[in-house]
Amino acid sequence: MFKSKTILSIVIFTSLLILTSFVKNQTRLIEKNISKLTENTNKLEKILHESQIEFFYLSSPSYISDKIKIFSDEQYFSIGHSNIYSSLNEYKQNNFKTTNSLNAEKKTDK
Amino acid sequence: MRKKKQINKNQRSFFFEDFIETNQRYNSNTNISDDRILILFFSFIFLILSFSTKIFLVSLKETSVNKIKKTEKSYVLRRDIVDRNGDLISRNIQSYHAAVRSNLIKNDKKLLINLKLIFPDLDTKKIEKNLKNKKQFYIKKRLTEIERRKLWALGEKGIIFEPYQARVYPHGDLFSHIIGQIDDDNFGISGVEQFFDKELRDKKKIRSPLVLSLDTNLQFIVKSELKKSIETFKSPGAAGLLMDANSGEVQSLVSLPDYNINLRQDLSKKEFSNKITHDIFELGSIFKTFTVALAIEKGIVEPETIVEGIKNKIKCSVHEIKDIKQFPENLSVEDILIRSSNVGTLMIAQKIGEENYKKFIEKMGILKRSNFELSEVGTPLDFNWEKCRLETISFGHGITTTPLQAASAYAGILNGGVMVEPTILKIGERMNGTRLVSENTSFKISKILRKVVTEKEGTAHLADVFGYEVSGKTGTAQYYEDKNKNINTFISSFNIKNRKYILLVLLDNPQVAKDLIYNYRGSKLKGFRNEAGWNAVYVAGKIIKRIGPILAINSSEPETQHVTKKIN
Repeated sequence: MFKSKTILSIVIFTSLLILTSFVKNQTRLIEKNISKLTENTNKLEKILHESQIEFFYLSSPSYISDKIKIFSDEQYFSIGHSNIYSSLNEYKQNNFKTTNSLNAEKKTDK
Repeated sequence: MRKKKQINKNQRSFFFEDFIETNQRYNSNTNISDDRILILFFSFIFLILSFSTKIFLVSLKETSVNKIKKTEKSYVLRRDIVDRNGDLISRNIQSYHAAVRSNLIKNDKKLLINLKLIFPDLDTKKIEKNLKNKKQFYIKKRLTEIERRKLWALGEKGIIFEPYQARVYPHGDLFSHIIGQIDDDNFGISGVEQFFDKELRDKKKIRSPLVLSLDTNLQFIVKSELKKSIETFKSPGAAGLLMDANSGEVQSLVSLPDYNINLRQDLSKKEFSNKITHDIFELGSIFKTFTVALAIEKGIVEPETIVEGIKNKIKCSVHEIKDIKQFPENLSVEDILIRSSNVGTLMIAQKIGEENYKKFIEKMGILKRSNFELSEVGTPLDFNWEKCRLETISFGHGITTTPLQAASAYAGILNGGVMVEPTILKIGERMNGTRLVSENTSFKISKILRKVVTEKEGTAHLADVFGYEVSGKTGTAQYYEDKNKNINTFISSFNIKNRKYILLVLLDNPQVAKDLIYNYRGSKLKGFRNEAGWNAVYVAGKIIKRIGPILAINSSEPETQHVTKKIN
């Protein structure tokens, strides 16, 4: 009886000890993974950080207009105020009005 | 057990065995003693305790993950600055200084030759001396990426790359007068960088950018048109300001000449000062609008009221005040403003009286230092209300202010009568300022200023861009210090989808553009005059034509084309 108790307690202690070391080991591995991933994230973030600067530089209006001058002969000009529509409905209504007035003009011509 | 069995064999009658005695006997014969078990037990307990303590201590200690997080945070020491659309204006990046540890250098001569190849302007004698003295010294501060790679490729152990935070401005000189600069220790020394220095270094907000009210596209357009105007009118400088009349948000602020903020320069020269916020000018006829607005507000006159007996020139104390050309003797109040008559405005001011005028000027805040969020803000010159002061001030002479303050006073008069403080931050709607004039007066003044652009006698026809209802007032004045130089200004207002914008264009001593052909009221005219109506107004018209569509098109429609291609 006594012997079995002793054995049981030893078994429990040993298993706990193994479990503890196992948990500790796993924690260490997870921690390693986390630090690796964080390091990668940091590197990627740094790349993103710097490529964003490049993007904003390359897409800046002064850079684009300079490049247009070099690579293209086409001229660009601002859209007229009458061609600005804030919605598709506004555009449709305007076109409808124009078509109607043109039709009316044709009828009077006939 | 064996003993127990023997007893049983010899026993004929039963007897009571002493339990304790027997137990003790058994115990004395077992292989494992109590002490041993106890030792084993305590040793395990000790082991478990020591491991748990270790685990506990490890958990308390800073893990490598936390360490990385900390370094990641300290990597950026200053917040980003972005424009109203999220376009990056300035950001910190990691850069390097190159230093040398002389004791680690094996071949001094070889190093010197290599350094001379990479940096031809380097002072080799100084480096040679430092190498001989076995000193640690910098070869070059603020290395570019290419320079760093070239140095690294030398494979020299003694060259150290010392990291530091550099501030980068992707738009170069586009925002130079607004953003300002920082020093080597990441402290702002001018512009927004200095004014918001504490906020920009706030570690709690390090991940969120500082959002300005500026718009990169509008800023570019205003700047490019002003640059063209400098060439066309042979002007040493120019400035422009675009502001939302309701919120006071400044969407564009340009002062030329400017400089590339990435390449730090000596900016002590006067021409590099901010003409909109820092420099103070006598803005001339711009002030006539204030005189007429106050007279209407006080009920002294109406736009249609006829002012009789306007002479071409009058004497006020020692000053002789005259109009630039002969006007009719009787003019309505709106005609006085449309034709920009000095004498007519002076007569209206005399009706208003000094006290009323003083109070109105104080209300507009054009004589105090502005609270604008930049370090470079000028203070208008102080003056005494001596004899004839009211008369000269009424048409903008003898009074100085910054163009920014003049523009915000115009915003206050034209937005319905509420004074708004100009701001560089994106803050949205804001109409809680002090009332300057009534809505009715504001409406009447808007109508008169529209006529300045549309009427035949008006001085600002060249800014009449179809669809934007441009209105405004021109001002041609002399420099406060040098009467031979002109400052030409045009403060305009235009409407886009129920929003009002104020655009100020200022040209520094512009000359007659003899080669320029104006499209004036349907006919072609060659340049022959150099008043504001022939240069500042012309430039404002060009700017409105280009920025109008951008302001009109809602930013929530990214697919909408801002420009159309011309078919050649």
